[in-house]
Amino acid sequence: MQQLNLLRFTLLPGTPLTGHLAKTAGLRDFLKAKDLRKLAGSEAEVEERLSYQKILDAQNATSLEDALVEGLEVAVPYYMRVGEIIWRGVEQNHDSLLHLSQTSSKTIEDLFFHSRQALERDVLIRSVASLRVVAAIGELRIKDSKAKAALGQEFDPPARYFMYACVIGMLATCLMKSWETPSSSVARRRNLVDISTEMRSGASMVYKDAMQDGLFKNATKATRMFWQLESQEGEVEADLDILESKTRPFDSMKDYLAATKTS
Amino acid sequence: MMRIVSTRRFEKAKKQLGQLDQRNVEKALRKFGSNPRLPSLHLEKLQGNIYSIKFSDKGRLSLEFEGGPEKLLEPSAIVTLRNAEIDHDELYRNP
Repeated sequence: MQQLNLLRFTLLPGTPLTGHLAKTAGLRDFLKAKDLRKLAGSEAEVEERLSYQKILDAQNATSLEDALVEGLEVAVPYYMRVGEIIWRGVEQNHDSLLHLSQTSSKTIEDLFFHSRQALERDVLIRSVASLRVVAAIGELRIKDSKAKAALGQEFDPPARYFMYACVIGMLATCLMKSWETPSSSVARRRNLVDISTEMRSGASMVYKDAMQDGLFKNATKATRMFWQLESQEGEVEADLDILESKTRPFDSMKDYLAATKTS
Repeated sequence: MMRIVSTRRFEKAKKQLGQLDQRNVEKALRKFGSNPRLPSLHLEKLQGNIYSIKFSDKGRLSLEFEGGPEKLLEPSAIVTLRNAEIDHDELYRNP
């Protein structure tokens, strides 16, 4: 049972991120010093073995794919280890895990927004929307698992879903690494577009799995639509508009409708 | 009377809709402006200060305002128009 829950835990977008994990994902408030030390050790190991530079600087589609596959081989066992440390750290409590997930998702999203100048607008929108969808569905999984555990039912996480989360987590890390080592090369820019597109297709599959597993069965149509990638991309774009003052004010709804009426 | 802030995203999303849906959006907003609690709007909280209203069977638009729906009748209320979407359900179903 514990092992199965660990698998689910790794679905959290906060857990798979390397590079000062505790700080990046806001884990310091949730874990004890000994767990943070274990995480740091694990991170140091993966940092040594996984070459983000190779992924970012790949010169063509084949070398990018090869570098991504190579990266995942290193990243997957790491994800498992991180999941185990954190799940134990929160004393296998679903509510603590949910709280941690919400906090770490928000922290990571804030980092993306804060560094928005480092990424093209479309890349940023795709990436943040993908992270939001995976985070929201990860949280639905936690709630579903809690309900099943309360009924004494066995929890069986889909392996496919776990793999998508690994891919998305590693790709998000690649994007974060890209603004640590900026470069304007054509290859780098193309790779960032490809990486965010990969994130999008991963998040899309995560949503599809959630639909098939009935995770939205108690949700309203509006909520289900809100967590579709297409809607989230619109929401991220709206957040960017607000942040960058790309907005128009009106004194009333009547004024707004008069100014924008469809001919 | 509520004040309105329209995001560039909302204008873009509205323009991407068909003519009929664009008019439906305007109709829904007109109703919302006169009475945000009209049952036909299906006003619903989504996340934080983000809410949704219905503009057609498959269409929803998202709005942002502070303090909950009861505050919308106050003169200081500001509503931000965020996004308009048609359900993409068919993309996520098995063939």
